[in-house]
Amino acid sequence: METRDGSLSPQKYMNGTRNRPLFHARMERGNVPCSTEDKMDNKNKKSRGGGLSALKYVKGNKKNTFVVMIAIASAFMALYIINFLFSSTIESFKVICLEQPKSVAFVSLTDETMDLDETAESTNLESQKTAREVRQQEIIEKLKSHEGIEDAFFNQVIISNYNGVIGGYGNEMPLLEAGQIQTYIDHMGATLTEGRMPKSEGEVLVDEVILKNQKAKVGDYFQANSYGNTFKIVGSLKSDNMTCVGIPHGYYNNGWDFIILCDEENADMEKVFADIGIKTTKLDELNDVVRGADSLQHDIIDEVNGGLKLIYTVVSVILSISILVVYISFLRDRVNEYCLYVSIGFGKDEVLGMMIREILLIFGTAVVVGTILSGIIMVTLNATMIAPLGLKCGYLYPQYYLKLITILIAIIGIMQIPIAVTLKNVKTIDMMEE
Amino acid sequence: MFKIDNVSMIYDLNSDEKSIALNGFSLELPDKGFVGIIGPSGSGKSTLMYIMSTLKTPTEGKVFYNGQDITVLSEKEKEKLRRNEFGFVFQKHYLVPYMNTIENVCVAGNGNYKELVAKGGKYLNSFGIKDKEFKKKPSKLSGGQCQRVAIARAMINEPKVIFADEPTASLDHENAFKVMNILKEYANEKLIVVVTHDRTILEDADMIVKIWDGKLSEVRKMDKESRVEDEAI
Repeated sequence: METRDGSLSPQKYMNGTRNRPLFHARMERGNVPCSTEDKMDNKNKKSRGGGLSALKYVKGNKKNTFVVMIAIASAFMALYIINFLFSSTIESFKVICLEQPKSVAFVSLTDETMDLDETAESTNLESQKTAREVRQQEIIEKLKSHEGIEDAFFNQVIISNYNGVIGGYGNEMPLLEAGQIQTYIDHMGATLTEGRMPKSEGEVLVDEVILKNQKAKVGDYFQANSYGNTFKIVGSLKSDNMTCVGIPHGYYNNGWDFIILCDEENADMEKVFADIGIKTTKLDELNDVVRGADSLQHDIIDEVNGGLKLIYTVVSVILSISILVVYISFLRDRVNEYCLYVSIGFGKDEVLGMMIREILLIFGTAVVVGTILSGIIMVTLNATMIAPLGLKCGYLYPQYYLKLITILIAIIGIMQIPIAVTLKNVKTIDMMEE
Repeated sequence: MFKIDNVSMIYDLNSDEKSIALNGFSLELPDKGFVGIIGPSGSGKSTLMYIMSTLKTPTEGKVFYNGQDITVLSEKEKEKLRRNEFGFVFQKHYLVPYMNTIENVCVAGNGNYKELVAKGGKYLNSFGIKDKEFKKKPSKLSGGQCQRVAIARAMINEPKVIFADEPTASLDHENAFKVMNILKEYANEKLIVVVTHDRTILEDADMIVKIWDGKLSEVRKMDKESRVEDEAI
């Protein structure tokens, strides 16, 4: 009843004949060992080709695994995109906090630091004013003589808003005399890209990035919501440090600062002022490279990380619970399958291995899909929202990526609990049938 | 091949409601052939089969397989034995619902997967399951087809012994006949142990073991050529 090629004939089995050893040829070819021990050893050396494959479950349950995988990928993507948006804010504000102070510092000193005595009864207001101006000029001259200080002014400063995706930051715009502006923009490495230099009161130059951010253009009034029709944008600047500068329009109550054009090595104003014999205190406002870095860390990064931590916690808890609920239902549906495996000779460790591989396959695929989706969405968000607002962003944040992977690993860890319970309760089929 | 020596199995041994499934049971089985174990429900026949196949450990007694007492093996050794030496056909087919027909056969297999697929395919063809049905999930197969797939799964490693517990219980007469024919064929070279309470499926058995109330009631060995009883106790 064997066919010519040695394959088995169906009729052989169907007619119930018993006089031909159908399995004989195969047994000879199969090199069946004589003793149990021999056979066991030989067989164990073979790979378990059929085996417990994780891929089979995924392939055979495309809908279920797809839903779980997409849920994980979506959560992964959502968290990474939130990271991206928050990080875009940090990246954007870095320019103001870290880059700009390498070239310019804005310093406001108390009378005490400036060694001015306004309470002296012997002096009148006029003489006080004169004394103040004399002292300011003395300080300016001392600053100019300091190594690495190109120039220094004492002028008004206004704030130009720079809005991130989340929150905003104030960018200081000095209001100088017309003749000082060229010096300022040269020092800042800025170039005029459109319009003209300010000539009259209230005319300002604004960095292209700030213009984008404010959705303003040359000819508009600068931050009309805050200042009304006081400052007119007469030109745009291109710089690496969001340079903005203008001419005062009377006295505007935004404060007066020493505007110190420094180089990177002499950007720590506490040290610079100490060098010229002025000891600054905490009451003085030193908006310099040290304060910028401190502000970036505490006002921006710490705040962002605090928000992220909260979001991470909430999303992780919701995701963990959701995945656990779904996974437990999966496990319940598969009890018979696990019982079969154990009954036909697979160890529980092999079943556990299959379960872990399935989880890793689903999670791994979810991470890949989540990463790809994140990439697509980040590029889209950058093109439609971030770049048009003059904001900066990066796509690769290894620390956040690792954090997300860690969360997923933690979830996989939690999933070991239902797996352990299920495996503990897995029975062999004899017990089930009883 | 099998020597069962004074085996007892008592469930809930330490409880007031302990039940004795097997009571001092002894039996020897040949290396090959079709052995039927028959008895009424609760007589201990399934317990006997599961003890022989290492799925259960007896309360007392020994079971020798090829001279080795398999009741004292570690769990790992029992797993290896079940995987490499034994095949199982259960009352229900227990096919994995998300696997197709051929995957269900090969899931238990040792060796190269392609070779397993080829071998499993030949078995399935032999059992009347056509190639076009290899990709079908169990839900798309009839009960008889599922049970034949389960038999192919039991045979994929060419085990020395196949244990079949009421293999035809959930099948109609025609499918039961087909399933039994397959098992009988395998019994030409290997040992088939079929547990049933249905005497009709044991018509061609080489040996019939009757169990009653946990004790060996009768053993009938049939001569292969003449098909007549040559021994009875």
